[in-house]
Amino acid sequence: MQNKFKICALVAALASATSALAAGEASNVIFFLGDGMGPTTITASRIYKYGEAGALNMEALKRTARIKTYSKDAQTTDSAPSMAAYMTGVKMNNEVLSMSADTSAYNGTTPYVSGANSTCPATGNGTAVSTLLELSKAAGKAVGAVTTTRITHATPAATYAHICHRDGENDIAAQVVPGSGKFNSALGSGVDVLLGGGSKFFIPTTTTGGKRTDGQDLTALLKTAGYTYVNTGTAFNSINPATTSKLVGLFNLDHLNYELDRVKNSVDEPSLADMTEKAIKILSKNSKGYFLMVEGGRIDHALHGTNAKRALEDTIAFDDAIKRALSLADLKNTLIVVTADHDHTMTINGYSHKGNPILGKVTDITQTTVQGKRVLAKAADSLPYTALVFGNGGGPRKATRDDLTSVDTAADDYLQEVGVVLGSAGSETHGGGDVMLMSTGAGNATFKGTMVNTKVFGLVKSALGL
Amino acid sequence: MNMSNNPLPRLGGLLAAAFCSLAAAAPAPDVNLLVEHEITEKTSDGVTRQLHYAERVYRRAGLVWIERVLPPGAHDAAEHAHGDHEHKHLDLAAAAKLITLDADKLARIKLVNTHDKVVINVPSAEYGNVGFDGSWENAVHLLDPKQLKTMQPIAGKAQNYQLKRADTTVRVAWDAAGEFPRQVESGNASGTRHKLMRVRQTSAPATTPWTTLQGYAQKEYSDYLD
Repeated sequence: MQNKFKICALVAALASATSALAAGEASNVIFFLGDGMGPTTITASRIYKYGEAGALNMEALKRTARIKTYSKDAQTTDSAPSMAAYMTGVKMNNEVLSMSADTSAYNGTTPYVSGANSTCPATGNGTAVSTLLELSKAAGKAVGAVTTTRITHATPAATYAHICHRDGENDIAAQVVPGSGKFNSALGSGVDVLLGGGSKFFIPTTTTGGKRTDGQDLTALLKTAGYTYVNTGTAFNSINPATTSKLVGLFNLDHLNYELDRVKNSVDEPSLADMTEKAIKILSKNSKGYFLMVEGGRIDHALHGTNAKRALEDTIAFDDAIKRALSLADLKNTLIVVTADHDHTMTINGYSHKGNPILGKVTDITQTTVQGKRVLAKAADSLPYTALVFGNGGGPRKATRDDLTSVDTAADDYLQEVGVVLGSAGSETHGGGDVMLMSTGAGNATFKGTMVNTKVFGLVKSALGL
Repeated sequence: MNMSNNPLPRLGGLLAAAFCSLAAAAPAPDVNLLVEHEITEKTSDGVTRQLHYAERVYRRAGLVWIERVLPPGAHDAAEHAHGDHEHKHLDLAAAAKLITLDADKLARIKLVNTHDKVVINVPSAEYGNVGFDGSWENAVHLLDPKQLKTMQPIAGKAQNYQLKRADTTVRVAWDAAGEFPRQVESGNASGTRHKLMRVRQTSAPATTPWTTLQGYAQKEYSDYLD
């Protein structure tokens, strides 16, 4: 009995020591979220940019874990509860953002939203739960959110807003703006850096493209609250982070352009890497540290459209932002986490020879080797097929397959073939498989094994000593 | 029409640039068309698949309206089949395409859902996902007339053209007055793939649908994405 007590005490002491070792190691956290960036997208992006034997920057992170992403009510999650699980540690229903588990996004079959306005009841439908960003702010740290989507979209919104249905983006915008009347008081003096798109939810309908039906101009309120506000890449570039402490940049009425189009058309929007750098430089001036969320948000949108090329280009842009952060952050006091909120249905087909373009058609490796030239593999209908395909997808699908022999499947607008045809454009679904989580820097030792997504919240919170 | 089913986009696209100067100078006349598609595919497992569908195309100066011919009540049935908690959906078959030519001579497309009374703006990066190739000429004429210059006239048949390339043969019967193809037929040599598009003029709609969009909600393509 005495021995058993000694063993128990020893185990408890060890557990305590481990906890003490992890807790509070990190002053800063940079949480990278590749929306929809499942394992296949990571592999395909690696091959696309660096070849089969190459490596993405995110692969340089020291630890890798596997994350289970199901939501409270769905086998396959949407982006709202999955990001909210990371940010709050609570499993919630699809469409719900950073609310308690009992929150419903629907009144029966009717969503709690009218246009972009929330119709969530004020009481009786769940309560707000604290986010990592709010906890960091309460601890005196600087906080920020950077994205390529609308800043009011599900992933960034999960860091700073609480709402029963993600589509109430007018209300989500109001929650992040001091003086709006709906400001989220848990944000204290406000989110220090907000960069992305979605200005339409910040300006009234009386302004071109505006969606606010309450007549408010939230950009004006932001300026009143002491923010520097910019809406072009050019103006963003002129911002001096050394003299700026509160910055909002909304560079598009809607989402920012896909990276492919941003570069090809020289759109006056900043890159995700540049936004990440400026955010880090502003937030890191806080002596108590910072919490920054960076989202590669349009990976998901290109995948919904079964447009693999734009998805891979956006993944590379996301990876370049990670590279930039790694070059700026002091890993002795900064934890960097890279993960995804869910998978998609894209997969890599066939037995192409090494070196075959990942956006290309599958090759017959035997004939390619024997003949010394690229020989396409054929499906049962005697037609070639691409290496990347999707389990399902919408858009203008044909009842018969095209002969792809002379089709450039690496063209910007090429849409990959799908297994199950869905009628709705852009309706390829999320995948329900696990995603990867990579981490490095202060407090990363506990980010290992197979975890449910809610556990990540506790690990980040512990690493920050919150 | 569904631009992705255009029978000649790649054959003609390669050579179209060389014939820019041959593009028609005058605006194409107003027409009201019924476009019927038949696609047949025979596979090596002995299965023959046949596909039929039709679209109405209304062409006016600077504007083309394209809508799928749907069976009565089809949209209601499809909508209800999605279930109660569908996040959001954009039913392409039920949405008409409104293609216009803007001031900088670029074709722009909007989707119009008359059932839900919604107009949806589509950015150019998403054109592929709504079945639009971005070509104004293809939209106005169903087939860019410049592509006829890349084809061989068929002897004894005025305004009939043929193009043979690799395994594929394409034949076009052109309506010079209306500036649209009466028929486009393509197929491979072994006969396993065959496409036929037949076009005929019909009466104008009692009310032109693009003039009844006042009060429609304005949405973005991205509103339908997760």
